Amino acid sequence: MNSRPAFVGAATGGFVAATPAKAAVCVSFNGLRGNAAVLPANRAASSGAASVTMGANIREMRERISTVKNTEKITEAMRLVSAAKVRRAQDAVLRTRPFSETLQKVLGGLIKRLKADAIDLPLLTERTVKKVVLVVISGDRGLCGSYNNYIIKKTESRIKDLKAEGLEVELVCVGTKANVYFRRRETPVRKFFNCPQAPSAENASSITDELLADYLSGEVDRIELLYTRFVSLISCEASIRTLLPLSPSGLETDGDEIFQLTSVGGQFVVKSETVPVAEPEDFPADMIFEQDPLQILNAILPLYLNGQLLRTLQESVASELASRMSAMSSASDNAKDLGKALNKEMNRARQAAITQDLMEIIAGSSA
Amino acid sequence: MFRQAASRASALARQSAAGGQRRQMAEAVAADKLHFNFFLPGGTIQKDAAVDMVLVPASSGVMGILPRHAPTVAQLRPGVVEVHSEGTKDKYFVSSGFAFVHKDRTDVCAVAAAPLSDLDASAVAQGVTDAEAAMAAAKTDMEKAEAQIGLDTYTAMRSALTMA
Repeated sequence: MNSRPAFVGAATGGFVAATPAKAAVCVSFNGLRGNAAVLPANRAASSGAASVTMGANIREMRERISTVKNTEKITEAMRLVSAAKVRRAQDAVLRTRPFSETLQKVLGGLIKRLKADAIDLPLLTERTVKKVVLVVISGDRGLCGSYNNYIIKKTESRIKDLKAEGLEVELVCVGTKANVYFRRRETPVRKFFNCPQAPSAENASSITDELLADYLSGEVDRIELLYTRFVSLISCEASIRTLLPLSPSGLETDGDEIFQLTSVGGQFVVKSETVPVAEPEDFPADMIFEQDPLQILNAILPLYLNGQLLRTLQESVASELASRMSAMSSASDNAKDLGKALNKEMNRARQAAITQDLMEIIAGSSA
Repeated sequence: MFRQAASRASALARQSAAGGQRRQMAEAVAADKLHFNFFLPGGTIQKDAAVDMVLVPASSGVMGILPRHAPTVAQLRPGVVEVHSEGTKDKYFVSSGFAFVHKDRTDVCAVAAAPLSDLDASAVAQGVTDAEAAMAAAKTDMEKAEAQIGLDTYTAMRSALTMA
């Protein structure tokens, strides 16, 4: 009984709010189940004023059923909206590929050519590590299942490992959820960025500018990226990747995975195909470099970093949307089941009330 | 309307004047077209397009790329990329980027680009004055560098618009 006001508040107050609403919904779902089970016992104990109480009970149940139906509509709508956004996210990834691939091929070719000269490139050379910055990509909003929890857990375990090695750790938080969690804990948060729903090159470059400045000034010796890899609609993997220094042997050793949201038999399904790593460009011996190759390399590296960060941002956003889709789909299923159970209880209560009335009339007339 | 017609007329005049030499080179590679790609971080402007010529604003000067141009890697400064194809000229203002000319294709990767017709002359003039003010008010090296970049870009936009 006492959980009902919270439930109604959550349903009508809109679902864009963060965890408190979700917690309220969870609590009240359980609370309602408990109350529904209690009702038959009440019915047995009632008498006299039973019909009045019964009427009130039936009205309450009818209200609850309509609230549950509303909740189901909302969660179903959120699921479909997330599905539409996943499509947009994957289109954005496909659009950024040609630019990054071209840069990557040229970068590979330039490094191949310059390696012979054993040039010292600040962004590629490994230093003795004293301080590491972890860039955590989380979401800004809730109601996405365990997406934020997983990435925060992964970050905590990485912090522990690094501290065990005796290294200093600081954080850069992208996304409100990680920021809210970490800002009151031991590890200092250097900077906070919002995680946009549709990451663009400008978003990525504002983050990369900060990271590059810190790395090149020598304040930070290694920058690692913690993001969520999109594996399928129901499973996402929290992964770590070193952003700086770039690995000198091959800029990207793992191929790209392109995911595609399609529908098979009315159900959403994700098909993924692996695209091999872009081959480094083979520069002919008489290639004209309008500027010094080293200068060109140093100019391309920040753009390349930008592309890398943008891709991880896009992938994390896609994982968040997929988690939200699956969370909302479970919520819709629960709401449907609850609605059915409540409906049955209401019918039983209604029939009991009618039976009670009939018995009273019969008893009264036979007396 | 008038401005478009005037610019097209002046462009044709320029083309025919310089056309003598270009026509000779074109005849030598008559059947060939330039395989051209124009990429931005957020998308693609041209992909696998067959064009006649591309002018790019390399930092060493405006470079014309015709089919069978020698392989080149060039960094771009703020300026106009002109794509000539079948008599039409598409002009895009780019903020910076790279041009890679390979044996079989040309890639232009720009950090940011916009069709020249999208630039608003009054906004550009305002940008130039703002950048000059920022230059005067800048104290740290960082502020000076940022103001200089802004000034370079806006001045390039202004000259691009006056030449168009």
